[in-house]
Parts: sequence; structure tokens; C-alpha cells
Amino acid sequence: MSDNIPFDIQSEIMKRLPVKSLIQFRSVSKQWKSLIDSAKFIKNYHIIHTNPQHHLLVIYELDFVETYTSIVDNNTFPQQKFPLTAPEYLSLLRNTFTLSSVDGLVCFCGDVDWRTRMAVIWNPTVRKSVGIVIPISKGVDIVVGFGVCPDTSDPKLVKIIVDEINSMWEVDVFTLSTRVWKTVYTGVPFKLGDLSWSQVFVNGVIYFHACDSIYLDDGVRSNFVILFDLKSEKFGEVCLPERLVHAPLLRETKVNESLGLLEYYIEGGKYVCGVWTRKDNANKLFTKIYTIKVEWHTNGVGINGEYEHFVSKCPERNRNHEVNLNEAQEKGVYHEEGTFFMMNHIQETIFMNEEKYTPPKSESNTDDEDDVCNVINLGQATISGYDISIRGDFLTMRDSWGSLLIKVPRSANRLYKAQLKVGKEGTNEVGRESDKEENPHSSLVTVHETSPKSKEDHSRSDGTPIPIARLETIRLLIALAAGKGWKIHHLDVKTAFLNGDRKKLDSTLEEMGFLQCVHEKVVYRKVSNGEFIIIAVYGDDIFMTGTSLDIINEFKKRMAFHFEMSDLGELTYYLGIEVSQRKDCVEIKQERYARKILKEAGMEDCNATSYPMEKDLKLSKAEDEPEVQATQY
Amino acid sequence: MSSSSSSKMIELRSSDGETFHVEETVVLQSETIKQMIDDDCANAAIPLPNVTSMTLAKVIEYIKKHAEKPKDDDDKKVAEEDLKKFDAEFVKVDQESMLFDLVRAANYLNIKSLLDLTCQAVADSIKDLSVEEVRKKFNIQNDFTPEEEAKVRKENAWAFD
Repeated sequence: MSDNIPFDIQSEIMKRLPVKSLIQFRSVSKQWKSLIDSAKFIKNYHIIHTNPQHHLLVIYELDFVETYTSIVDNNTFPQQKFPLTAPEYLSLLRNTFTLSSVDGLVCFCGDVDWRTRMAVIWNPTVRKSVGIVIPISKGVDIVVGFGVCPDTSDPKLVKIIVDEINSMWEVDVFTLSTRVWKTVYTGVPFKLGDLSWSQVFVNGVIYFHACDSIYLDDGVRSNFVILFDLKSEKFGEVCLPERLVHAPLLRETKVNESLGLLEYYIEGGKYVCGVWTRKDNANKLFTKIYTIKVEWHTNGVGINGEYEHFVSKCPERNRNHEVNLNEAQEKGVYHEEGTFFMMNHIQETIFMNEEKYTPPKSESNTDDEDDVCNVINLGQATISGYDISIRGDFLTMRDSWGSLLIKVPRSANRLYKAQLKVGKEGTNEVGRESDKEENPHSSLVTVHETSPKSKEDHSRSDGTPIPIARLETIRLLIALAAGKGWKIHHLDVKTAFLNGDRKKLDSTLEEMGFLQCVHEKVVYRKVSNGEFIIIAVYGDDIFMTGTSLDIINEFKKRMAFHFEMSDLGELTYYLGIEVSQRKDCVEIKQERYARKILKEAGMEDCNATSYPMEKDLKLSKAEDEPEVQATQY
Repeated sequence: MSSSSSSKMIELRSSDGETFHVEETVVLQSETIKQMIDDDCANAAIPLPNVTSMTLAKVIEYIKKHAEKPKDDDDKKVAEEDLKKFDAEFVKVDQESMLFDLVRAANYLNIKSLLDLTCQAVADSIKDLSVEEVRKKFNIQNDFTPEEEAKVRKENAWAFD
């Protein structure tokens, strides 16, 4: 008898190790590696681990970079934290949002270009992800759902193609293990109405939120919940109590492993969230199990945030969730982009044997020496109708049709370098990457990273494709609100209002009874029943103020049906300007921006000193330059 | 199924020749022995050449405890708690080799719950060890070349922080 443990017992022990140890122990020996990497081992892992440790995945923006943290969800919360790196695939996407989380997986969705979407299924435990391309046809709407097959534990995507003109649905199911899309249904819609992306996955069933397409007298649309069973591949409808059918805002969630519904409403001037769940008995009636005070503006998550998952998973924490939520945040976290998400995940081994995906590097052609180097100022490019954004470590540039021109990572010297094909020689126009014009001429474009301040330079006179309110307009709005004691609220729309979307915005607002300002085209107002609301659009942000909270909330609610957006609550931060709205005054300051400059200059620890400063003093680099037209900005 | 009275005793003999008398109902938790009894091979003492007397004593302690039947539902809850405590204490052995012996014995005697318990205990004890320590513990030869090993590690560099 040897002292050694036979391999079959070793494998019994391996099965019971946490994922992180398994990943390390892949390098113990070839035998261990091949066992850990085997599909069977990965698939059976969760059978042993029937009582998984839940983690909360928190996503927020820290110093303009999206930060991902996994926090162990037990009584030590939030002490045990693990920083994560965002899935590599996300760097390819734009307008990314978190779709849903199922067990150990998180599904993101975003646009690759204007005709291709991509779903990214991420396993934060093994830090690997898989990207699934979702083609979009013109003129139809799609809704994508994410779930895991209860029998095979295989992740699946459900794509519902809604052809409103012909009143048809096509339903396709994607199975990850085979990587095949299969059409399971074509025909009349299961139910008429507007199906939304808001969803939850419970026990093999995806529950989608949907709204009636008809507005009732009070401007509210009836809610309903449509379910798709991944096993039978059939649709169904959830019977809702009358109160929830007419709830101003309804979201699905998971409560104790069954379907839960969150009803957001205002009671006594406060935001309240009612948590409903149903008993899995014969009549399946919903009952309200508790009511939570929610302060949307403090966590920056509103209409389509994932805050709900957090609310529902830990009933005992719900009572004092505010404290914990704040503790969970890092110092210096700002939520101006509405990217504070919390969702649950468990340890999952799927994708462990997947090749790590490395996003394609920007083409660094060795023939560069012969190319003409060009430096395009970001302002110049946006004036020509290009849409430029810097998110994380990437700069993306799109033309006015929304096609991706460049997506480049930041290099060490803080420059973004991209190679572009110039469409027509002799003009300054930058051609699309896909354009195969005659005589294509390669040129290297170097784009300087700009500070948030210079973004303001893009706001120009009217008549441009980018709807950007002048800074003065927003300042005026703040002054007006301060004078009247109104509150300014902030919405963040997932797409900037460019061209098509801009038209949709205009028509939507017109439909709601808004009047456009003649001088500043991005300002709209509406008077109804003695109530007054004014809104201003800045890129993908909407600022609004009005005589009462009701009218603002009503507006938000109706906008949410037309656009994908997050409610950031009261305005606290925009374009590097911090806003604090108090009872008797509104304070605006650029402290954070100033600190950032000090930090960049390595002066953050220097002592402050008082210095008499000239009012309205403008400093400029070049004295002898022609004077800037004062009214232009 | 054996329908003989519950007091029927089975004799087990360890590798070092010591004999143990255990009630048949208790010993049936071992699939290996159950098979032998079903095949009517258990009339004489059952020789267990892979299990030392020290280990066998521990195993019998475990199966005896797990054979206790609660009288009613109230008792059941208490018993379950009690059993959990017992299990937790059971795997707290002084020497690591003892734990490994128990794993081997559980595997040989095919006692699923004991195998689960002991494997989990081993997993818990090695989960924070380094790769080198794991190799040493299981006496595993590193068959990677340094380049190969570096590559495997690099694939998941984050896990080694």
C-alpha cells in the first residue's frame, strides 16, 4: 500500500475546491490540468457545490473608468472584496448595458456597429467571457433574453424579432454549447404591446416586462409580464394583481428563488419600492412582502439599474440597505453615468477551459514611416459630424451615421493612435473604415486625449447634428431652478441623440406636448394643468426642472418607454461640474476637475494659498492669436 | 435484502489483524461490505487489508454515529444539528496522514457520506496552498517544462496574486 492518494480520489478532492484554487492548481501537473479543463469536470462542478457562496457584483465608475468588484455576500459584507477586470469583449462594444445575471454568469449587451449587436456572457469567477454576435435587420425591433437551460445547464439567448409593420414575431434561441441559432417560432405576436429588455430569469423561465401600447387616461400604460420557458420554448403570461398592472414603474426580480416584482412609486414625496412575490401554490397570487425606502439619487440607479437584485437577495439587509450600499462604495465614486450596478453571482466554472479572448490591437502597421501623420483635434472632428467618446481606456469615433470608424486603446504616452483610410483624397473628410474607395490613402491619425473641460468646446451654434445645449443654457436652467426652488433632475440616455434618434426625440417630445425653443433648439417646455416643465438636452444627457416632482417623474416615466436610459435622480454632476441642490440655493463647483489638474501636474499635495484673482480672467497660451469670437461658445 | 434481526453482528478484520464486531445495520453503510453480505460472503470475519485498525476504529465511530435513528421529528432536528457538529469534529484530526487514511478507507469501503466529508476536509485544507505545496502533499511529479508551466500560469495570472 502506498502513501499516495490515487488519482480518482484526488479528483474527488479537486471537485470540492473553490474555483480560484482550481485555476491555480491547473499548473500542478498535466494530469490535473487536463482533468480541471475537461468539459465534464466543469459541467459537474456545480452539482457538488449545491450551497454556493453568493457574491455581489458591483459595477461603478471610478475616475471615469468602469470598476468591477465582487463582494462576498455574507455577514462580513462588504469587507471581502475582489477587484475584477471588465470582460475583454466589452472593449468592442458601445452603448453597453447589463442585461441579466443568472447564477454565476452575467450577460452584457451592446452595439458593435449600427447593424450588429453583441451579447457578452461573462463568468466573473474565472474571469472569462464569450461574445455572441446578434445581427440586426433594418426596420425591426429586437429583444434579447438570457437564461440557462435547467436540464443541461447550457446558457441560452432568446432573440425576439418584433416586426411591428407586419405584426409578426420571430423567436430564435441560441445555445452556447453548439453555438447555433434556431428559430423556434414565427407568427403573430404572443401578445400585442411593447416588450422591453428588462427581464429576470427564474427556474428555467425568462420573465420579460412589457407594456400595453395604449396610454390610459392618466398617461400610464398597463404593465404585463410575458414569460418564455426555455424548456418548452413556449410563451406565457403572468397574471398580475390590478395594482401592479397600473403601477407607474414595475420591474422583475428574483425573491427566494421565485418571481418577484418591484413596484416603484412615490409616497409622501419619497420614493418607495414595494417588493411583491407569489406563492408557488395553485392560485399563484402575488403578495407584498415588504416596502423599502429607496433614494434613487444617492446610488445613481433608477429605472434600469440592477439595484433590484441587491434589494431582493438579502431581505435582512433591505431594512438598512442604505448604510451598506454606501459602505460598499469606494471613496471617490461618482455615478454621473448611472453605472452603479449590483447583481448576484455564485461560483461557476463555465468557460474555465475557454481561450482567453484578447481584443484586436489597433493596427500598428510597420509601413507607417511612409504615411502622412496627421493630428486631428477632437473638436475639429466633432464639428464635422463625428461622434467621439472616450470610455475607460478606449477612444471610439463614429461617423454621423453611427458607423464605427476607430476604436483605439490609450497608449502609454496618453495618446490614442489609429490608422484610418482617407476616403477622398484632397479633402479633409475621413472615410469609413469599410469604405473601399478608389485610391485609398492610408494616414496615421493621432488623437490627443482631451480633458473633460475641452469637451465643452464642442457646443456650438445651432443647426449641427449633435444636440448640445450651451453651457450658459444649463447654467440658466440652474439659476432658474434655484430662484424658484425647483429641483433639477438628470436622465442619462443610452444613445446620444444623433440624427435618427434626434428625430425620434423631437417627435416623442412633440407627442408629449412639448414646445421647442426657437433660439436654443435643444430646450423644450411644456405647460399642462398649471404645471410647467422645462428640459434641456446635452448629448446623451437630459436635464429637466419643473414646478412639481410629479410632472418630472411623469416625464421620466414616459421617456423610459421610448428610450433606453437611466434615471440619475437629482442633478449632481455633469461635465466635470459638481452640483449640490439645497433647499435655499444651488451650488456649482469644479473642485474635482481642479483637483484632477493638480494631480496631473503632480501638485495635489501642495499647500493652498490665497491669491487675489482678477474676475473673469482668461488665460491663454498664445497671445498673438486672433481673438476668439466671444459669442461663439 | 437481508431480513435478519438488527442485532446480527459482522466481524471486520483490519490489516494489522485486529478484529471489530459491528452490527450489520451499521456496517451496511459501506457499499463494499453490503455487497459482500448480499453475496453471502460475510459469514467469517471480513478481511480489510487496506485499512489499519486505527483508521477502522475511526470509520466505525463514524458509521455508528450516522446509524442512530431519531425517534420523532423534533428529535430529528436536534439529531441533525448534533450530526453536523460531530462531522465537523470528526475531520479535525491531529495528523494529516490520518485524514488521508480516512479518505482512502472511505473510498475502499465505499461510504459515500464519509468520502464527501473527508474529501471536503482535504479540499479545505489545501485550497490556500501553493502549487508546489500541493505537489508535495500528493507526491505529484511536476511533468511540465518550466516554459509550459509559465504559460499555464500566465493564462490565469490574476489567480496567483
